Amino acid sequence: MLTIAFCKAVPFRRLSTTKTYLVMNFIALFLFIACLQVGARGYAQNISLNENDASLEQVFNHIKKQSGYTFWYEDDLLKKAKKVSINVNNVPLASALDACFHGQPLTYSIIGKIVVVKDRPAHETALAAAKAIAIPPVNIQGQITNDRGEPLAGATVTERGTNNSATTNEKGNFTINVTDARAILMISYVGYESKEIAVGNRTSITVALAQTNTSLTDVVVVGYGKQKRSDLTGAITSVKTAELQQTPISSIDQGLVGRASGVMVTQTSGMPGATASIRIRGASSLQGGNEPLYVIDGVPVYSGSGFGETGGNTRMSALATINPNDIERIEILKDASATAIYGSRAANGVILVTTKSGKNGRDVVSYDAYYGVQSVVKKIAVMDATNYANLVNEAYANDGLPQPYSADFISKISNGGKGTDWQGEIFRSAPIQNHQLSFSGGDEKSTYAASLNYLDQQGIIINSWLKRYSGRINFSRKMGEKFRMTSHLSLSRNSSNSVETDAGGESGVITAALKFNPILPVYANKDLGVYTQVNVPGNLYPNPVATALEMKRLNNTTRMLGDFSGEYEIVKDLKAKVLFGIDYFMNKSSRYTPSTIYQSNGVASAFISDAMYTNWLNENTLTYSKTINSIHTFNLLAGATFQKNRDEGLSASSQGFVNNVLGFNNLGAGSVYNQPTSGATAWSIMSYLGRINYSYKGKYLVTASGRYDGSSRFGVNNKFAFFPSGAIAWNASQEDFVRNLDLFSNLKLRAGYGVTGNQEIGLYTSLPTLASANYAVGQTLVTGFYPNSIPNPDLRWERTAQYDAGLDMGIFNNRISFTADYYYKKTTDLIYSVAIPFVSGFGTSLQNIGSVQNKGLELGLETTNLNGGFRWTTSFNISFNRNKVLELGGEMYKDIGTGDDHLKTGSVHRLVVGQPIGIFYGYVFDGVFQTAEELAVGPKGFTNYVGGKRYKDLSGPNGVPDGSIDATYDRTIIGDPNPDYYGGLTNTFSFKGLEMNVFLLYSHGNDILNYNAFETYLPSGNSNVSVDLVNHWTPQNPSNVYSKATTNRSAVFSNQFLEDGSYLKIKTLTLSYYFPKLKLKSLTGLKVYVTGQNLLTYTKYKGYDPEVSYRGASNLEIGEDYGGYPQAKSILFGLSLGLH
Amino acid sequence: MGCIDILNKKNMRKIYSVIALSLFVTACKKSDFLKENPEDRFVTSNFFSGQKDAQAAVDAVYNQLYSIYQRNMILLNDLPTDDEKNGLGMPNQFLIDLEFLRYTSENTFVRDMWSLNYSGIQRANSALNNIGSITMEETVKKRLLGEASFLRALYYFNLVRFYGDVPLITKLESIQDALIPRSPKEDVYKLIIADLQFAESSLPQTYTSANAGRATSGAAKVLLGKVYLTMHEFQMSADKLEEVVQNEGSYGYGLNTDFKDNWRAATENGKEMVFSVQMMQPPGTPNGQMVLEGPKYSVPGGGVPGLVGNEADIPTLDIYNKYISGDTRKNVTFKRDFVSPANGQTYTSSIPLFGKYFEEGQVIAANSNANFYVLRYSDALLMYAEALNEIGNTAKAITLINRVRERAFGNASNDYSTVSQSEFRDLVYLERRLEFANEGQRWFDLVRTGKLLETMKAHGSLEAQLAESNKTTITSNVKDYQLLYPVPQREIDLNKLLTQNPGY
Repeated sequence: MLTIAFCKAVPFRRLSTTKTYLVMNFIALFLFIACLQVGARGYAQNISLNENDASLEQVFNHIKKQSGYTFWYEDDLLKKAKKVSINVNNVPLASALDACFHGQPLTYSIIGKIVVVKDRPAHETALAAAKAIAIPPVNIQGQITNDRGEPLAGATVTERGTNNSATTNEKGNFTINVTDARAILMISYVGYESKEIAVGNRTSITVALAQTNTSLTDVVVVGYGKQKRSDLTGAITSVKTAELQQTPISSIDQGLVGRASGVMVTQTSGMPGATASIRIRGASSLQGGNEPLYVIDGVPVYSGSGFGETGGNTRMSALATINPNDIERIEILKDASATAIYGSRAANGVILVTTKSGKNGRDVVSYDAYYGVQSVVKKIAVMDATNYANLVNEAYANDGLPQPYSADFISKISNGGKGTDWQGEIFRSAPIQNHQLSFSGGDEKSTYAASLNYLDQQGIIINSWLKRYSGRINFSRKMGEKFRMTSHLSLSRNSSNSVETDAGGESGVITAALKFNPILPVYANKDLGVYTQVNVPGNLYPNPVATALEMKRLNNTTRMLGDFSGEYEIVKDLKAKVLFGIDYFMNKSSRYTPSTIYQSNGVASAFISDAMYTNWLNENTLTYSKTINSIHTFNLLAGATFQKNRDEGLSASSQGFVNNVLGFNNLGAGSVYNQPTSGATAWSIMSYLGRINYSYKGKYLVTASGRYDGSSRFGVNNKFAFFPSGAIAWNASQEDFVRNLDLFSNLKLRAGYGVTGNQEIGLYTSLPTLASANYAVGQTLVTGFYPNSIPNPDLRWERTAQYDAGLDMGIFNNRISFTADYYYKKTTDLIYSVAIPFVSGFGTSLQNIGSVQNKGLELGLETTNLNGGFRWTTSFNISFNRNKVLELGGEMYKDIGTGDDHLKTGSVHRLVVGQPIGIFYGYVFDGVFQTAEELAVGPKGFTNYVGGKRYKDLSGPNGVPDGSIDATYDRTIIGDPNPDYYGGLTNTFSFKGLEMNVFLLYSHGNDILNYNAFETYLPSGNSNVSVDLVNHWTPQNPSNVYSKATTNRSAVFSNQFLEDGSYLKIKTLTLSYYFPKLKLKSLTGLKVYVTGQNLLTYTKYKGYDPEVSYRGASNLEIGEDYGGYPQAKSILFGLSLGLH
Repeated sequence: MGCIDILNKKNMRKIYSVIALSLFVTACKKSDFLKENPEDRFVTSNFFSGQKDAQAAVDAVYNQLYSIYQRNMILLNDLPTDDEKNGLGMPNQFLIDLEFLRYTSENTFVRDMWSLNYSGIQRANSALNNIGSITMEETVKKRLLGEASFLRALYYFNLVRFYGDVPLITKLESIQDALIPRSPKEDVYKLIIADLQFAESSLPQTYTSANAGRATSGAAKVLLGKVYLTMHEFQMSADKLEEVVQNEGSYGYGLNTDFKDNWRAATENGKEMVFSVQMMQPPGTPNGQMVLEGPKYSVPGGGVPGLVGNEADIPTLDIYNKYISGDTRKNVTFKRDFVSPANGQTYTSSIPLFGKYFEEGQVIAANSNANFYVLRYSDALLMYAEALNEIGNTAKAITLINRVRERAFGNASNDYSTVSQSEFRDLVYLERRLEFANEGQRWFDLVRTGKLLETMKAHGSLEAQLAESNKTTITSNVKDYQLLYPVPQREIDLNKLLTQNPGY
């Protein structure tokens, strides 16, 4: 029977003839309409095909679509046909058909617009074989490059249908002898789109390969394994690390900002080496950890919220010990289907970091370096000395106090009346440099990659710096046919000196630089090096220059992180893997306060703290992968893992040093020794895990996973918990009816659900522990012990249940690819220090209370806008997260934190059921009392005088305004630090060797409490103020914003100091040039670039930078800015060299 | 099926061996691997086993004295009275509210006093409930139980004076035990008296110098005398104090000749010390009052070089002027001249500052060694005098007050002679004010003697005349319910059974 090919969709094959005709009629009608549309478009002259193991039938369909040619054949005929793999771009129909029929027992002829398929006569096959012998082979020489013309070394060139292949050398050149002019060369290279080239009459061929776009065939690292991206059922974002490595980041957490949807990265401080706070799909814990789990080459490392001695809230990043240049790729696991395999540590998402390994091929040596200069983005305008002196006098006069400064004194103020620019004194232009030397290579059995790295970052505040020395060796070797051993080992040494910032109150150099009396000089006696000690008259801000230069806060960290694993193929498809990992982390924090600065009280003191963390891991997994009849693909994983951590630490201090020569290096040289402390703690986790992946023809995908986790941290009644997940996905683009639309190169729908946990609740919290307390008896200390907690043997895991629905879409051959995810996450059994009556002797008790939800939408879009000589790609992501407190153990709200001790604001945040975590709760500013009459009207408040601030009287004990302002009735929700949406936009433009990469970062709708403004808007004469306060209230200048000058420093937390923290930033801009035709003896490639970071920020926020977090990585007290180390603006010059 | 392919005999053997291996690996005992064995801290279950543990449990009860008395006692006892006001140094709304008598149930200092005393009670309860079953020397056990009882009584006595009726907790096994209503103050006093009676019978009269600072039977008796005086049980108070005063030699009690000796490191644990909070510079807990009260704004140039002061808690002019010439207590209680450790020059403050806790020669002002007194022997004498006067023995009372005055003036020239009972009341109240200024006694005394409201009304007017017109609001803020502080709002929010004191 002859059948028209275009109606041969698979499901119809076994229909009866009658039915077939009915269907055919229907389809003919459908096609008629389709053809009208297609016809309007016109048929392509040339054919492009990209098929892998496709049936001939499928290929015909595509050719038909593109050319308008129809195929005639008998059903039985095609049963003989082999599967076709073909990748041709824009070739004539005949070439495409030749390629399809190459090696087939079939041939074809073209009649009009019909391709007739028929048996290849036996003699013709024989003839073809004979020809192959008779015709002498053709020698082809050529070069393979990337689309910028850079040679690709190690690319594979294969003659189609044969085992005949060649590999390009380091110049990208190859030589191959092919059968004849009809031969087709298949060219492939990892990370690039493969191409097929018909040889024709040429003997010299140059091929440029395009970089893979959204490589669906890409292999993605998942928990305990790898998967093809097209087989994923969960929400996983891969971050391209190459772009990050040209920016001045000291650790990879900083680099993730704006790069992936659903991942909110807050730079807690601009201090070199400071940690970034990461929230994946919102905050799901109140008091426990909210940072994701990092898994580095398979070893889970909870980096927490940092460590170290910085003087303020800033913490040094544990991830800064991992050299970002060693990182090959980063996968961010976001939904429960992806993360549940990490069970009790997965509730905050998981970040998988894979370091670079060697590739099969020639040894490669490369050297990468950059050098740059960083500077502060801006200074905040404060009053100069003359204005300030007048303000002080006015404040004192208003309060009936004698004025500190005479007119004569004011007329003689230094620097033309401007006095000291304290910000100018502490900020500087600071160099940053990074050098990386890498070696890699391998052969069929072994691969290796080794690197050395040196980073030296000077901070933009004087005397702050970070240095890193690190080395890494990754090695893998196949031994025999069935066994492979792999090891990763890195060693690093980080040193940094912190200058106290983010300390709030009267501490920290930023705080002091903003508020220090500008009349005072830096040095009381410059020749003798005697500093002006402290801000007078007024608040006790120590001299920021003295603090920065004289006080030492050194952190030295040594880390060894490595693993060793063996993988054995027990029988075909079944592999066992045993892994041992070790993370040894040693930190020494040292502080020295010389007697010459104010903080010392005249007595030099030194402090040392040593901490050692030893963490070992054993993982034993079995994996079984099998594909049956090219239809059913199974992937099974089972394993057991054990991990144990031991922390040991000690600290000691002494004071009363004769001089500063020895610093903190000889505590014994002090004259008074303080009480030493030490500790040793341990935790452990044991887990059993399993996962099943099933794929039906790559169309229908099912994943189920589970982890049974036990943790030492929980109450004896609740040590173990089970964390299951399940997900399904439908690769619609594999369905013929979608294929036939010829629109989608990728179309996948995903849905998943899973449960994950959070165990970051501290150690020994369920036990009835005792604390020590000293008392002086007979002028000698005795040590007492008392119970410091009420035990809770039922303490259990925080439990997060998460739903995710996702869509992945690629059109125009993935030139546009789009990913969307909607999630709903509910965390229950939140661990919280619940307030209990003080009469118990305790303030709080750790209990599982309440719940929180996060729901949100994440969109990612990648497009290749122009693809040719001039290439333009865009990558965009946007995330919307809505956080809500659902329950707080029966209470409607909890006040959070104590606010700032120095300003005595009381708590500024409140947790309220039905509201997001972190909302600001305070008074509503209502202008300034202008007259005595207004004052009499009230309401009575904290600044009850003419020229004082008025606040709104919202309510009272009887539910109506009561004429007075008080904490219970007149505070309300006045702001939300959580953004409405945030994300990043990257545009890359390249032409030949020139490339420009622009990365924009944005956030919208988040409020920031500007504590700096809070203080610099108090015209008290106690500390310097914003230059705006030149317009403060006076009877002659009735300001309704700025209050009267008075020494009364009544600081009331109101919406006046909440600012819109929305911003759009040019986060990085990189311009690079790759020398394409470099002909130097041992140089294989050279790239130079210049990168600018934090170049421009569009924001209404008045502080240094809207990327800020005074409370570090705090979960509850977010969106505050108080004397933080500002982000730097940087310009870098870099180069990359390839050597051999 | 593909799965079946691999399940042939040869492969099965391999698979079995892998399964066996993995079972071996997972054979670590779950319970052992995950058990928490804290190595750097004690847990209740493994602690109370010997005499030293019992001693440590009691020493921790003493530790709570630091936070109760370190400034907090002064803030609730001196700041809201006519003795003290806020300097420029610590502009805290809650402090200002205390000074202006407009504190509410949200006041953090009012809250802290409640919570800190209950923390002390919890520690005392833990010691009292656990020491009994420890096998140890009986005399030591008795003494330790006596010390804990003394401290529990002191903490409850603080609470009942500040708040009136309070929840009475003697044992806490779960949070439920804390969710109880307030007990009538009579019941609280019953427990206080029982504890102190136990303490006076089980504590020694004196200790060797190595144990200086522990509660003695004399301290228990003087405190009991104060409890009775507060309850207006004047006869019982006089009887109890007489037991001590009559036998002062055996308790080692007497008055220091030099008033300042009460705060000098060498002498502060001497004969005048009945019970005090033992402050000690690092690594101990020093007395921060020196830096809080030290000079700053009132010294031209903004402070004394090398001497850190916050000028936070400062005296009223009223109390400064109450000392008559020749009273040596004036120059101890107040200080105007300060020698700079940096340049040796003397700087004079424009206003008087408090001086009792100022340790001469201490370079780090926050590290003063001066103790806080809970009970001083002059207090015992004046209480005894007050009680005697109330029961009609004014003549004997005069001899006692004169003893205190003779020490103050160095001679008998300012002794009182015959006065009436009611005249004596005023004299002894004034004497207490002069003797115990800045020692955390004033508000208790004013409430006990019924003088708080009139005193504070007069104080507001006086201050307004002197300098600050806004101080008239103190007078208008005085309310008759202010004889008790409010129960912290947080406690009422967390325990619906609690009631608030009237007026708040």
